[in-house]
Amino acid sequence: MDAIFDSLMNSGASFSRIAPATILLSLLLSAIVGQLIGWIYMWTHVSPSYSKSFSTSLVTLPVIVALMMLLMADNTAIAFGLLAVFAVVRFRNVLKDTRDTTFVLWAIVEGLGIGTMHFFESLCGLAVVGLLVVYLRVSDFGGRNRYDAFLSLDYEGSNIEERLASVFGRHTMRWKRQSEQSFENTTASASFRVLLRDPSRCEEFREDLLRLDSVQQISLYVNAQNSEL
Amino acid sequence: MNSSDSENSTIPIPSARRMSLAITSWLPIAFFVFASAICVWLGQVQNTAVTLIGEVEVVEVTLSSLDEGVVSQIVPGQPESRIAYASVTKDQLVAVLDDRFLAQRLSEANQKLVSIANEIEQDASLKAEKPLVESLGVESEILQLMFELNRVGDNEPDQRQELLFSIEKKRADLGFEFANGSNESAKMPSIAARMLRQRCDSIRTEFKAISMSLARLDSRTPVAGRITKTHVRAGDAVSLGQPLVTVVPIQGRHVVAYTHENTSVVPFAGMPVTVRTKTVPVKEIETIVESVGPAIESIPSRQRSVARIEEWGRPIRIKLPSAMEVAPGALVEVVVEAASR
Repeated sequence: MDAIFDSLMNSGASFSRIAPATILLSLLLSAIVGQLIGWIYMWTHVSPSYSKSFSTSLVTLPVIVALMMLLMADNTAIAFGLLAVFAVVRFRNVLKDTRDTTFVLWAIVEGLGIGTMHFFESLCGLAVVGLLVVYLRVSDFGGRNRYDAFLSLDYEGSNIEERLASVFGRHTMRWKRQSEQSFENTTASASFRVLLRDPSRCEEFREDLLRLDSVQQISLYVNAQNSEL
Repeated sequence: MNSSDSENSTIPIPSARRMSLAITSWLPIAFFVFASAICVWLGQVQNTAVTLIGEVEVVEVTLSSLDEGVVSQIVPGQPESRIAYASVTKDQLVAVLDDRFLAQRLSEANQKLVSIANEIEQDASLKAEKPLVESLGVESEILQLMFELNRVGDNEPDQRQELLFSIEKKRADLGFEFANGSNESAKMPSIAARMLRQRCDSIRTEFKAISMSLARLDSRTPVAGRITKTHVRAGDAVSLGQPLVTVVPIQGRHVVAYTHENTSVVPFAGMPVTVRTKTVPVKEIETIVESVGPAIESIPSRQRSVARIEEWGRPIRIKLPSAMEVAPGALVEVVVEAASR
C-alpha cells in the first residue's frame, strides 16, 4: 500500500515535482477566482439571453485550465498534443452547451494527466473539479432572481398590483412583474414571476387569485426557471 | 379558523423548502469564505519550505604514473574487455609498469659486484673488504626477492607472504652482519681498498635507486569504486605523472545544490536540510550544509526548474551520511525549512 501511495505521489515525467500543497492551492484559488468571475457575470449581465449553465461553466473552467497548465508545465510537445486532441474532439462534436464543452475539456485534461504519468495531479484535479460540480449543482449556482412560478392573468381595471398585494403577501416570498399589456376595452393582461412559500399549495394560491374582483383568466406555471432564450 | 382568517394568514414555509432556499442563498458565500481560508492556510504551508534540486557529486580519482616506463598490465587479473566499469577495492593494484629496464640495471650492478668479488679473491690485501662485498651481495638478493614480489602481485597471497618473510629474514641477517663486521675494516685502508670501497658505494647507491624505482612501478587506487576510464593500454610508454585510470566511488558522499539568488534563503555552513531521493520508495534523511560557495554561479541545466532558462544561485555542499546510498550524479531534492532561514 505504501509503495502504491509512493508511486502516486512521486509520479511525473519531469523531475521538478510540484508540492501537493501547491497543487491544491492552485486548484482552489482558481475555483475562487472562477466563482468571482461568475458572480460578476451574473450581476452585470443585462441582456435577456442569460444562461445559467454558462455561469456555472465560468466557475469550473479556471480550475480545468489551471490543472491543464500544471500538467503541461512547459512541455511544448504536450501542449501541441492537447491542441490537436481538442481540435479533433471539437470538430467531430457540435457542442451546443457551454457546460458540455467544459466537461469535454475536463475529460481531455484528465486523460492528458494520466497519459503523462501525472497520477497525483490528475486525481487531485478529479476530486476538486468533481466536488466543485456537485457544489454548483447543490447550490444552484448561476440562478438569478430565483422564482419558481410564472403567473399570467387577465383583469379589468388598473392598479392590479395593489389588489394582488394581499394574496402575494400570503402565498409568495417575493414576486416581480414581467410584463403588462392593455387592450382597447378595459381589460388588461399581466405576467409575474413569483417565489412561492409552499409550491404544494399552488392550487390554493390560484383559488385566492380567482376570488379577487375583476381577475379573470389565470395561468400558473410552477418550476419556471431561467433558461437560455 | 374561519375563511377570512385563513385568507389573511401567511402560508408557512416548509422546513425542507426553507433549508433548500438557505442552501442556494448561503452556500456560495460559505464556499467562498471557506475556500479562501484554506487558500491562505495552504499559502503559508507551502511557503515554509524551499525545495532545491541537488546533484550527488561525482568524484573522479585519476591515478597517474609514479615513474616513467612501459605499462605491462592494467588491472591485473581482469581481462581487457571487462576493465570498463570494473569494481576495484581500496589499495587494489590497477596498473603495473614493466620492470625489465630495472632488472637490466640490477644485472649490470651485479656484474660489477662479481668483478669486485673476483678482485678480492685474487688480491690478499683486499681480503678485509670481503664483508662489504658480502653485504652488497645480500642487498642484491633482497632486491631480487623484491622483483619477484612485484611480479607475483596480489593474486598469490601465500607466495607473497613467503617472499616477504624471506626479505625480512635477509634484512635481519644484513643488520647482524653489519653489527659484527671485521675489525680489520677499521684500520687505515690502502689506496686500492679505498678505490674498491668507492666502487662498492656506487653499487650500493645504484641498489637504492633500483629499490626506489621498484616501489613506483605499482599504482594502487586510494578509493573503492569503479573504473570509468582507462587512459593507457598495456604496452604504452608513460611518463611521470601521466594519467593511467580514472576511478569513481560507487556511493556519493556530497550533494551540491544551488540556492537561487532571488529567494529569501540565505545559506550558511551548518544549516539543517532534508535530502530526499527520487527513487521508489523515497529515501529521506536530515543532514547539514557543509560549506557554501562564495559567489553566485550559473546553475547547471539539470538542476534548473526549467532546463533551458538560465538561472543563477549560490552553491551549497551538503554532506551525505553513509546510511544514504545514492549513486554519484543522481538528482535529489534538498528541502530547506523555514526555521533555518
